[in-house]
Amino acid sequence: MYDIILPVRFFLRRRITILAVLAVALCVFTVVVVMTVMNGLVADFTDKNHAFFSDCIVSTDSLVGFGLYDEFISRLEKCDFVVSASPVINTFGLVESESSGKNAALDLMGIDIARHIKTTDFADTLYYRRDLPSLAFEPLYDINLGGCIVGVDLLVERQKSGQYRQLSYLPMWSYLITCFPLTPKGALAKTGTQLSANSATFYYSDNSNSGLAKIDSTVVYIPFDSLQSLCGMDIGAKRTSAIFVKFKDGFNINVCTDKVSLLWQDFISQKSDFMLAYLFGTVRVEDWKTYRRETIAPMEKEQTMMILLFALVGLITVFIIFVIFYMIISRKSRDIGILKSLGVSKSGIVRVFLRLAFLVGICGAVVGILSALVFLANINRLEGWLFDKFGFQMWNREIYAINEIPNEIKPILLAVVAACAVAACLLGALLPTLGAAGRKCVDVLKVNQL
Amino acid sequence: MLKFFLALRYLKKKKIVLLSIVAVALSTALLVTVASLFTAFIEAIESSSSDYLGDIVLQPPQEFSYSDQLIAKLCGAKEIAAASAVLSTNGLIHFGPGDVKAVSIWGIDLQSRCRVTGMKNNLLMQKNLSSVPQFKTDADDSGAIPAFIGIGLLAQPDAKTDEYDLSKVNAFIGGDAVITVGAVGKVSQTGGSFANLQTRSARIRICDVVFTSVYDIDKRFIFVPVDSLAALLNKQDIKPADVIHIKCAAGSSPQYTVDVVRRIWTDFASDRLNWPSYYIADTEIITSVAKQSQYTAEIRKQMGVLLVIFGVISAGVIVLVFCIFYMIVVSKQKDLAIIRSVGGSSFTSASIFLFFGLFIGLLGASVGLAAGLLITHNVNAIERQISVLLGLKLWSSSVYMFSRIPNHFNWCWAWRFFGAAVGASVLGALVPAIAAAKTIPAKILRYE
Repeated sequence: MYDIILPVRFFLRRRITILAVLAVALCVFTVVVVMTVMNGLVADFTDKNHAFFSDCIVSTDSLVGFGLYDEFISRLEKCDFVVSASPVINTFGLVESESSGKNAALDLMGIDIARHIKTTDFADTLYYRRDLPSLAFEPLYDINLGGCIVGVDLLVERQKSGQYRQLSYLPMWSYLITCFPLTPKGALAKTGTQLSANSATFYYSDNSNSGLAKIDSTVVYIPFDSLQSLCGMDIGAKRTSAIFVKFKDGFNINVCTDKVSLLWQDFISQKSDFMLAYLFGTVRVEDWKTYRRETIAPMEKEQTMMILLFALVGLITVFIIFVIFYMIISRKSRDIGILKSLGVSKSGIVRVFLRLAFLVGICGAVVGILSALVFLANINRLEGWLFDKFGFQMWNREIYAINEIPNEIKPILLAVVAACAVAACLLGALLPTLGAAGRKCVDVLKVNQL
Repeated sequence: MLKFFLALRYLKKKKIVLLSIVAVALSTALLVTVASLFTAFIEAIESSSSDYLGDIVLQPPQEFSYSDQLIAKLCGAKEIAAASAVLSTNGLIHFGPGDVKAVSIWGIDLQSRCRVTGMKNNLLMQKNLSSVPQFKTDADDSGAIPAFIGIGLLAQPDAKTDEYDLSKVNAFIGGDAVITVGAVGKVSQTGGSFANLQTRSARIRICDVVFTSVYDIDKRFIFVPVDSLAALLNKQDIKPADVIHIKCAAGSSPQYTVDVVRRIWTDFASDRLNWPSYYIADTEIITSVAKQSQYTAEIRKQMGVLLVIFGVISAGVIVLVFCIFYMIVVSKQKDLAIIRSVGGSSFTSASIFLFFGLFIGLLGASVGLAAGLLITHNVNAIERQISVLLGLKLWSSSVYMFSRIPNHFNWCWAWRFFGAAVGASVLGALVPAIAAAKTIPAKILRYE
């Protein structure tokens, strides 16, 4: 019983324990806030990537693409785990505004809109045609004109608040889009200095806000067939750069990606006599996360670095606990002597002080977590107030593709941080506790020590 | 003397004091390193901007003619050392089978550009020549436009080492590529002629490779002679340009020179170009450092937030020093009482611990500063070792712009944190020092 009463008594009576609790609480508060925001940013970014690129991507980096995609899509759609598949062309083009004369070399994405909105969350990124996404390439002002969807950051100004200043009407803007048509061998389909490129005019029909800054500031979407003919992917045999595949809910993405990979291997072995079979060699089958690893990995690395830095800083908390316990134990040497003289074992002494450390850890974690929860619940309001009063924004929304500061609490994070706080307290208290347990009562209670 | 002696003695005898020294050192090293790496990154952005754009950028709302005359006027001002015109456009480049990329094409006058920027130092082949670099190759260039190409367009840095394969890159020199740009053409029809957009293609010959170590520049830019680009774009104007880059004379401040440039530009645009005043006023004349200010301000903000977070946690050092000192005061009460009984004042007792705190602060902060200096200077080697040992590439030019981690040690921030660390130690020692000062010898030294 003493090993329960004494820790509680020490905890309540010794004012120095408040200092220990506050040190732990401060550390827990900082880690919970920073990691919640950081995890939220990473999760938001990965979710947006997932929504944009679907579950699995069959793709090649070559601008020449690969053929027989229609046949493979038919096979895919017969699989019980596939919802839909959409062919996509990725290439570069010169986009010139016919009204301003300004031009830019941009990424072009050719999509079959009907298939693409079934396969990805592209429909949610549209502004004017969100309700009727299948008509996204039909400009509202004249549905007979060939439309193009432009990345939102290319056209629409973003306000400091993070909102886009969208026009209430769809302006009739036209763009001359030019591509190099390539033969299946990759050579220029047209030779001669004046005639090596293909051009066509497209009319602004919508803008797309995927929330992925690099995509929204560099990509123009045009109908799949139009881009296929502009970049010569209809020469020889019709070709595509990628196939996006969406799996049914409840199916494991990695397992299904492996199945698609097997299906692809099977497909290309059957089509080895196809005239453009050599193009299959560069095709990869990947899940969305692997496909986007170059973009996602740096953020995850930064997250890891942040955890390491906090671990380093958390070391100071361990030091503080160590010193405070050293202090408490040195002041309690007589109590320890008396306890031992009454027959309390070494492990009994260890239990008393480790339980005290546990109490400090738990209380520090609870205080830290509660204050972090209150802070996170109000973080966006606080930022809004700081912005209104002092013009301070944590992230300038004109630069960063962030809407609100993420503040979704993950119970697992709270549990891990609380466990780490308790572990740090136990670790910090361990040495002084072992020192206390090792003391002999005859040494502690001899008259000149009293 | 007694104060110093006792402070030093406690420092030597009490092993637990080492803990506070380690904590002070750890906090100082962390804060100094973070601040140095951030400020070095910001400085690298600003210096690469000056290196690439000159000191001042003049960018009118639209393209203009007679850029040679404007440059002559600018160079006539004593505050300006050199100026160079740029004609820019965007386009596509076809290198070979299946290899097409989007590019920004700059038409430049190489001689003046080398005076304004550090372009020569960025050329792989011609940087060591004593003469001014030239748009020429040994190969016969029958009609092809000579060009310098960004290294990132020709190759990708190695995923593990983040370095380019220079032998592969050099193999491109002397080779050809095709560029396509958008040009405004005049079409004659019954009833007059009108302008329309056309695409025009041309063969270019790669004379040299530009390696600025700034990934975004290296992977996107092509440089060709300004007259060749003007001809390709079907420009009818004389010496057209859309941007002027200006280098200030030695001793002239870019901020001050901006006013001089604005005055010259206003005179030129109204007299020679006949532009209306509102159009002239719409011209952006800004230092290259200020051009990056929105981005660098964001990085500064991130640095500030990070330093506040780490600073708050590092403030735990105060608690640590307080606890250790309080413990020492309690255990050394008899010593203190003896000092007081032989005539030492309260101040003497207090100052022992304040000096002690000062020693710990100085020692810990010095160790931390040295560690910060060591880490910052060797951050590239550390990053390389992590990459080799753990296979984890932390720094990549495609993500963080530069091929190497900028590692200039910031002494200004270092001294600030040094001072803060010493101050924190003294502050932590303050309450124990007061407790020591309040020691009453009669109570401590009585026999019972």
